[in-house]
Amino acid sequence: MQLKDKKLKSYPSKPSVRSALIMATCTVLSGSLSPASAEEEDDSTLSRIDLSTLYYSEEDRVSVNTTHVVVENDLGDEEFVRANFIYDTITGASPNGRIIPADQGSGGSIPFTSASGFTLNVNDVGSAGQKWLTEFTDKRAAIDLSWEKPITRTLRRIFEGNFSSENDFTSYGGAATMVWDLNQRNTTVTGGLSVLKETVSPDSGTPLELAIANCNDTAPALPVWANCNITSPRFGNGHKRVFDGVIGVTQVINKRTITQLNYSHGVSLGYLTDPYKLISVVDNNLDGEEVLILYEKRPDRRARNSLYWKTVSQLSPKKVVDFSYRYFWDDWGIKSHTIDYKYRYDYAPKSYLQPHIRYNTQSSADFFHNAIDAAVNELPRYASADYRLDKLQTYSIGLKYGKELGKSGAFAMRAEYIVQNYNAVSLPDMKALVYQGTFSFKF
Amino acid sequence: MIKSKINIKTLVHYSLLFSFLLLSGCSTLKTGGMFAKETVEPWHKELLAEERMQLNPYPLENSADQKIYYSRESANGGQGIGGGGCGCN
Repeated sequence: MQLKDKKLKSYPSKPSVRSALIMATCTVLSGSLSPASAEEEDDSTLSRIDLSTLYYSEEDRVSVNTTHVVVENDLGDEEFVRANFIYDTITGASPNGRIIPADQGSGGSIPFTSASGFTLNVNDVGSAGQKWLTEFTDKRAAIDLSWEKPITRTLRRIFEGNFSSENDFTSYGGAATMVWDLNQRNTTVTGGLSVLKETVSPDSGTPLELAIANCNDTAPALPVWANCNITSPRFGNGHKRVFDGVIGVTQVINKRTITQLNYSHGVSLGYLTDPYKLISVVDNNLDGEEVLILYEKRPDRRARNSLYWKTVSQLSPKKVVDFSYRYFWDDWGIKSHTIDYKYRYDYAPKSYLQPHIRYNTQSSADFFHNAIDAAVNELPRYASADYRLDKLQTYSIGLKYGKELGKSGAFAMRAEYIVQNYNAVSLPDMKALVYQGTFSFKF
Repeated sequence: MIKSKINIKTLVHYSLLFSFLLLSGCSTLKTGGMFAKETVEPWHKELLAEERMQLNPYPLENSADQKIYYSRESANGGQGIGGGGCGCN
């Protein structure tokens, strides 16, 4: 668990000679940090507002604008309340799972009609004729409230409630976390549980899983199991429940290093299929021609696990490294490794630069198929061509600039470049740019 | 939109390798090593109390990153619990 500035107030201040020298140096350089001003700053941090604006843009795919506001109020005696408000606007095109034909200009031969409840979908021609993409627009508003309160001198609890809503998706839930400080607060044990209830509500209802979405009328032969003369039924909303638990240990290693190890386990139950995703049935006797389109189907249960290790260390007064590793595995057959590394360099007393790199790799889900062979006698029990269930790698690189503004403000801006490539799906690499500006103010 | 001649995959791989070597060097120094165990009294935590030394020092950026990768990868979580879901296409 994180240390907070306020905890220091519980202890007598005995800075080392080195710290005193650093503080003296900073005082000279900044001309503002003095014991008196530090005291004033402590007294002024009763409330805090954080603002963020973010622009995320994928090449030829999705763009997102996000505004995020956090208000935190210190109620005293280490009791805090926080409110997060998030608003997203999303536009663009998302891969729907259909194969990309060899002749991409044709966009496939099937006159495809209505895949989903996306805003734009009647006689969908996809994005610029690319029928493996579905255009959509959406808006998302979310609120998250939390309340942190000590129970004893070494034990505290955090309660949280959240709600989010999109045109076709709602989510609400709660979480409870207990934090236990041990060993003069050099060791912290954290345990928490959360539950979410989520509902997906496409305008046209949820489709029958693995039902036929459309047939290629021009195909000379269709699979024997395919009946194109019936209309696939649609159902009501899809509901799922998500339960998560985490237990973790945070350990102070020395005066400059803190490390954390978490184990998380989660279970998702209910409608886990994506009603907007499709899967092509291809005839290999026709050079892989798409002869049918089916709705995908996923299992109605998923158990997830992760081990997460993070360390933050100050290499020198100007340099702080922050690195983490996560190993993730689930019962859908996905295994993933993620490494994240940040290096903060304070080139001036109140300014810093922070390069960032991240690498993620995952294996594919057991039921992932790029397409289904029309020659099969029966359909698989589950099938999805969602590129996110494919074996993939994600590479990220970024740079952040941050600056303190006076005694109680801070400003930062960053840019990230993300590239994702796939193993089985023939989508081009996903390339995305992220720009984010943040502003913090304590009062 | 994005016309980069830099091979980001190579760049990330070499950067991670360099970072690993740097951290390995730092963690094996005889004095001041990153993982050198030492007794830390409450009054020694001045550095650890700095905002930049917190495990989640920039929650707005972390929140944005978690959502981006949640919507583009199958693996997620690990840092803790809480927060709402999203349709995320």
